[in-house]
Amino acid sequence: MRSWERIWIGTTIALMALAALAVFVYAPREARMGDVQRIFYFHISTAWTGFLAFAVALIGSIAYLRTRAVRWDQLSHAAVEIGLVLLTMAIITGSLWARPVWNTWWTWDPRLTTTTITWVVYLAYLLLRNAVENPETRARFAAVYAIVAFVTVPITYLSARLLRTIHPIVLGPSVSAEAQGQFGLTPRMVHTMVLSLIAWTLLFSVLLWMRYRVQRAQEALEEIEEAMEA
Amino acid sequence: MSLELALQLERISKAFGPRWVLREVSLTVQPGEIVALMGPNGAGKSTLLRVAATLLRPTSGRVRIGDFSWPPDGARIRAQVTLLGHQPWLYPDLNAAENLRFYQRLYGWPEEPGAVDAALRRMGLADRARDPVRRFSRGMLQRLALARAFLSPAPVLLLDEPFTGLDVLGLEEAREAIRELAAQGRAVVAALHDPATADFAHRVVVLVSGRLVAEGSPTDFPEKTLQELYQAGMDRRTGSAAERPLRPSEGNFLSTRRMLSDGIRGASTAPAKVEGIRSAFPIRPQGHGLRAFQALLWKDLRIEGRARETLTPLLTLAGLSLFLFGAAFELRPDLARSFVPVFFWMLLLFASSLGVGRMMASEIDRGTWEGLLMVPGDRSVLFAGKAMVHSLLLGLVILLSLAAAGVFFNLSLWDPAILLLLALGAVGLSGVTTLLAAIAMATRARELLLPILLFPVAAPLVIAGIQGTRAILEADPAGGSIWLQILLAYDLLLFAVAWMVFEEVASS
Repeated sequence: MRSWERIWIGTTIALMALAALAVFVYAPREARMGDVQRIFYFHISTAWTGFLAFAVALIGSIAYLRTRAVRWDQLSHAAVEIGLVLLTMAIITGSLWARPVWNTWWTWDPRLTTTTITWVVYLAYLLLRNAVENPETRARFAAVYAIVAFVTVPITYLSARLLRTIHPIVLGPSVSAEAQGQFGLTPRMVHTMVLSLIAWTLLFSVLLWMRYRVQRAQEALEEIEEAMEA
Repeated sequence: MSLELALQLERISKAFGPRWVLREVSLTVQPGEIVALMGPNGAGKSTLLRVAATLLRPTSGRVRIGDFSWPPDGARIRAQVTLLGHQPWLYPDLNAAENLRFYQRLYGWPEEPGAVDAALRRMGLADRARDPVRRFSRGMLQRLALARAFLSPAPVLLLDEPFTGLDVLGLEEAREAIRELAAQGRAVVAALHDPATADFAHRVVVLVSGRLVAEGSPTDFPEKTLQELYQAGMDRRTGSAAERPLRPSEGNFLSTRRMLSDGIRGASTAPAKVEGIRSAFPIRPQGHGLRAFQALLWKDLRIEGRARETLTPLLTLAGLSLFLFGAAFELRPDLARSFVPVFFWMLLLFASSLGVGRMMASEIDRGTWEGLLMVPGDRSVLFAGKAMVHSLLLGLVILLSLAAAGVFFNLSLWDPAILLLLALGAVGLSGVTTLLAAIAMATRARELLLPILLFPVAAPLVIAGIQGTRAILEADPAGGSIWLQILLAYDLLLFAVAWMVFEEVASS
């Protein structure tokens, strides 16, 4: 491992520890919801990094179709895999938060529905990759699908802002009078949230880099195997 | 532009993943020249022709014809090339003349009166012009495919195993026709496996393991010489098992007396003096996009009208679903207003997946999809044509189902706003399904993968459609208007993205 990688990973671990400390110690207890509200910092951070991952996959896919360089396809693939894990965490933390606040694990609310749609779309992306044998065709089809799939991301973002929803909007004004679990952010909460977002974004970048390197290594291995078979 | 244009392949390499199929193949074919491309099975002959025809993108190197080169300019190169592929690209439910007229119009070839009949006569099919192609034998299919290739005014003719299935008479007719075309100034490359059929060529080039290894006149390559060349190529490949994979630029190859070095070689045997047609063949005839669109529409509607391969099963499915839905729920009118929209939008989604999937699968299974991909110019015309046909099909299914719903549920759905919602849904769904079906049908999972790809992407559209229809039925025009706007925005976004990326999907 190169020195800059060590610094990068070390910083990420330190910031993640600091963010966890801030969530459980520094951030104040929310008046109405109590300690359960602390899950908000994980929920928003994983959701943000999940959608960031899909944006990276979109950029990688466009770059692949323009350049045909395999590394862009590998980047997109890695980003979708990590994005799916992060979005799964966002959905689970959201569900855990919903149980005490909304009195249900799940509800067919526009935000929850559209987030799940995005999750399924990117799961389909992985299934598509699995169904194509030719590496070039696989990369091309996957890139096209990743571009189409990203259409669902702004829909998810706008769903809680345009439609009647019980999902709270913490950042920016809510248009829905039915939102449940809405709360005002105190300065300490803002600090904790910003720190969490930075830490999780860094964690995402580290995971993306590592997964990308594994993809590169796999490609090199395939080349060696092919050469041995030839 | 003159008909006489040379085909230049410049250091073409093609890799499928880590496997190199072509390694720096360079070849020039002069106007009026016939080059026979020989090689053992798996040598890369078809791949080379498909790269030259823009069906495959080379990993490196370029195809040049006149001032254009591929990559990047596949659309313009395609206008200068006619490919006769492995499969005949013929529609069984059209007759022989209709098949030729369809391709004539799709490819923007001049529609001179009598040209189709002359091409059919040339290949001995004059008396079978009105017969459906499904009644043709393999040899007759090949004759018809050759007739289509001979109808083309393109200056470069690429023929992949053109004599497959032909009897001795057909073989001689085909060879004579190819000679005539070359005499008109066409550059012809024919991939052949039988050295006995190569004597009509001016030059023979030999491809082994993705490399051009030898060239000469047809008499230089009797069967025994070819066997030695092929065997030497195989031995070398086996001998290199322990080596790392060769990059295309590495290593020498066979050392025969006609060994090829790098670089582009011209004709070693002078082609016949070029005389004959010198008429201009524009890169993209004016209004070609519209003609190609019309041709696609005409072809699909005519086939569907004759075979009813998609519409009849879809209508049966719609009727059955409607009956089962009605019988299972026994909905009162107030509940029907809430539930019937769900039924219609789900029907639209399933009809889209099944119907469009079936139609795209038929194109791919018949091998005609490749023929469509050879359309000169922008391939998005295929998207437009297919999406239009699919929209019409879905529209018809929905209209007939609406009439049936009035009977089963005592509920009138003939509201202009509902019809607008459903029409928008049909257009948006047909667009995105056309794109995703082109992807799914080229994979291992095929019909199974299409709904997996389609349903989540189409879900916001279907949800907006259900909510909008429900709002209109429950006399909530404000709610209906919001959902209509959401559906329209998503529809446009989806359709625009699908249109933009279709070119990337539309290749072999």
